[in-house]
Amino acid sequence: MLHNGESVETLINADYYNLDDGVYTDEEKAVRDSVREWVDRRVIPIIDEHAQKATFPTELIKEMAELGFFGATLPEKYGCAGLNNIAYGLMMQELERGDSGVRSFASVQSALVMYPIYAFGSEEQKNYYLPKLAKAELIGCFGLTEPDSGSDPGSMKTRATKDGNDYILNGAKMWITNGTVADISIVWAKNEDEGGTVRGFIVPNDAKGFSAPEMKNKWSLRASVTSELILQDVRVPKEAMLPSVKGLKGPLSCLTQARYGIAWGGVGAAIACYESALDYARKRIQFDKPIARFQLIQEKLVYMITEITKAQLLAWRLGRLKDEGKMTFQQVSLAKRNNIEIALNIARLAREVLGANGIMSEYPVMRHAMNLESVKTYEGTHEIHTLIVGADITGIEAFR
Amino acid sequence: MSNEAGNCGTTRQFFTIHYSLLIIHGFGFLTVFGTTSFLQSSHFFARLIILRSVSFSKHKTNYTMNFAVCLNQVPDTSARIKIAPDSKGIDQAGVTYVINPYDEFALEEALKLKEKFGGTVSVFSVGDDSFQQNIRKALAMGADKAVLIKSPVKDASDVAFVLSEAIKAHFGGTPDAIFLGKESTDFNDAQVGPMLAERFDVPCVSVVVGLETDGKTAKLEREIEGGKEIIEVAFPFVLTAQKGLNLPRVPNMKGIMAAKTKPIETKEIAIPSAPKSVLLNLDKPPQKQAGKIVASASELVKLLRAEAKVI
Ligand SMILES: Cc1cc2nc3c(=O)[nH]c(=O)nc-3n(C[C@H](O)[C@H](O)[C@H](O)COP(=O)(O)OP(=O)(O)OC[C@H]3O[C@@H](n4cnc5c(N)ncnc54)[C@H](O)[C@@H]3O)c2cc1C
Repeated sequence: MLHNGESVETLINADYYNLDDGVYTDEEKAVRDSVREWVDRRVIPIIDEHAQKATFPTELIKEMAELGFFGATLPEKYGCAGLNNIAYGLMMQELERGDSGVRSFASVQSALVMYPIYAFGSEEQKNYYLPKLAKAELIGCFGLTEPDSGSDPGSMKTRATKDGNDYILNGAKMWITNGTVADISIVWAKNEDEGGTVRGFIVPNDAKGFSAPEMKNKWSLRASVTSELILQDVRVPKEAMLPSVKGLKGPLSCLTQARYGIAWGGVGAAIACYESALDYARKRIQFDKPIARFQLIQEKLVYMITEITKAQLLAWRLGRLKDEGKMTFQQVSLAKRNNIEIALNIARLAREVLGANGIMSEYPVMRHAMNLESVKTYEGTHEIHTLIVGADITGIEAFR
Repeated sequence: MSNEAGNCGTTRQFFTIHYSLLIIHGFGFLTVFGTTSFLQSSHFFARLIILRSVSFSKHKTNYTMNFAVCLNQVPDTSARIKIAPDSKGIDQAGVTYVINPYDEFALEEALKLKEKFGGTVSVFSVGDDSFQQNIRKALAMGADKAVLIKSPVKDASDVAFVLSEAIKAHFGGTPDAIFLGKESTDFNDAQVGPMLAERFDVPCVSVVVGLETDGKTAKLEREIEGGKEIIEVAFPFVLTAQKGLNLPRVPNMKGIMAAKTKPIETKEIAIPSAPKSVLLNLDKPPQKQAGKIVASASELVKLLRAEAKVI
C-alpha cells in the first residue's frame, strides 16, 4: 500500500520474466534456494562488519565445504556434488548477492584451483588434492598476475628451472586472492627447460623460500584476502607440475571457468542493489510522496530490472551452452563484460536512489559498488573482454 | 551445522562402548599376556575392534528407529494473498509454496534422531503434485522416502485419517515417533497432531521446544505461560513442533543430488465418512481506519465511551 492509498503489486524477487516457471529446473532452483537461504542466514548478517574491518569471514569456510560449494560441478568420486553449470551459476549468483568477496573465495577454490588439478593434473594429484580441497582441509590460490604482468600474462617473469628431480621456482605474484590464507598455490611459471613454456605447479605455501604477505588497505573486496606471493628458490618435486597442459592456454582455460561464474555473480550483486533501491524508493517520502512516484526514480529502477533480466538470460543461455559442451571463451567474455558492467551501473544508480543512506553500511549498495570495481578489472578487464569479442567478430586482433 | 551436531551423537556413543571394552581388554591383556611387544598388542587391538563393532551393531539395531514426519506446504510469507472469487480458497496466481515452517522443525528433529540412533525418516504429505518440489527439499535435507497422498480431503479430520492409514501401511504399524508442526501457518487449525495421536492411541505432546532422549523415553520441553514444562514419554509418541526446537538445516549440494533418486510413492486413500466440518467462506480482515486526532482529553473520554465503547 502506497502512501497515497494506491495499491501497487510489490516486486520483491527479481524474476521479471518468470524464469522460475520452467526455465530453471527444479534441481537448479533447489540449489539456488539452498544457497540463498544460507547466504541470508550466515553471510548477510555478518558481512558488513568483515568488510569494515577488512577481514575474510573464515568462520564460513567449513560450512561452505559441508554444503558442497567447492568444486560443485566436479564428479562425486572426488567428493564433489556433480552439479550442472546452471546450478553452479545460480550458486555463484547467490553467493555474490551476499558479497563478491565470498563468491571470490568459492570461485578461486573451485574454478582456479580445483579445476586445473581436475583438468590438467595427474591421477595422483587429483586423488590427493580434490577431496581435500572440496572439504576445505586445504585452501588454494591461483598465482598468475605479477607486478609487471597483468592483462598480458605472457610477459610473466616467474621462472622454473629443473634441478635433478626437482624444479626451482623464482618470481613474484601480485593481487592473489586467498594467498595469505591458502595452503597451496597454483603457480604459473615459465619453464626454462622447455624454452620458457608456461607451466602450472602445485606449490605448498609452507615451502622454504615461499611467502605470501597480505596486500592491505583496499577500498574494494574488503571482505576478501588479496596477497603477494614471493618465491625465492622454492624447491618442489617434479611431480608438483601439472602434467597435461603447456602454454598460456592452461591458466586461460581456468580463467574461462572463473569468468563463467563471475557472469552469474554479477547478476547476484545487481539483484541485491535493485531490491534495496526498490524497497527504499517505495518507502522514502519526499514532497509528500514516495520517491518511487517520481519518473526520474522509476527510470532508474526500470533500467535496473531490464538489465538484470537481460543478464539473467545471457547467463542462462551461456550455462546451457556450457552443459552441452558448445560454449566458447569469447561467449564467456561477452557475458562477463556485460554482466559486471551493468551490475556496477546498477550499484551506482541504487546508491543514488538511496540518497545519503546509499553510502551507509546499513544498506548493501555501497559495498557492492566498491566490490564490483575489482570484479570489473579482475579475470580480464572490461577492455580486454572487449578486445576478445572484437577479435572474434572482426577476425582482427587489436591487443597490441 | 546441525548436521555435525547429529553426527556427534553417534560418535559419542561409539566412543563410550569402545572405551569400556578397552578397559576389559586391558585387564585380560595384562593378566593373560604379561609382556607383549607393541606389534602383538596392536594386533590384539585389531581383533577387539571387530568385537566392538559387533556388539555395537547389536546395540545399534536395538535402537534403530523409524520416524514419520508429516509435511504440509503453505504460501510463502512474502506472497500476496487474495481470496478466490468463490470465497472458499485463495487465488493461486503468483503464490509460491514453501514447507510449513513448523513442519520443517519437526523434520529437522526427526533427522537428528535418525543420525543419532540410525534408522529412517519417511515423509508423508496430503496434497497434489505441487507438493513434489517441497517433498524433494525434505529428501534433500536427509529424509529417506516420501509418500504423497492424493485424497480429496475436506478438513483436518480427513487429513489425520489418510495420514494415519498411510503411515500404518508404510511401517506395518506404528512408527517409533511421528513428528509434525504444531500447526500449519495457512489455516492454523492445530488439530492434525492430536487427532493423529488419537488414531494411533499414543501420547501427543504439542508445542514442543526441546527434546532429549536415550531412545527409550524422551524428555520433551514445552513452553507454558511464564515458564516451561518438561514431559517424559515412552516411545512411540506424536510430537508437534514449535519454533525454537532447532534450526532446520539447509540442504547441501550432495543432498540435493541424492534426492533425485529417492522414492516418492503416491497413493489415494478413500475417505469413508462425510467431512466433520465444512468451510463456508473466507474473508479479509476489514481495512484499518485512519487514526483520529482529538482536540482535548474530555473529547477523548467521550469518544472512548460513545464510539469505541471501551470505557
Ligand atoms: C581484488 C583483486 C583480486 C585479484 N585476484 C587475482 C588472483 O587471484 N590471481 C591472479 O592471478 N590475479 C588476480 N588479480 C589480478 C587481475 O587479474 C589483474 O588486475 C587484471 O588482469 C588486470 O591487470 P593489471 O591490474 O595489471 O592491469 P593492466 O593490465 O596494467 O591494465 C591497466 C589498464 O589498461 C588497460 N589495458 C591493458 N592492455 C590493454 C590493451 N591492449 N588495450 C586496451 N586497454 C588495455 C586495462 O584494461 C586497464 O584498464 C586480482 C585483482 C584484484 C583487483
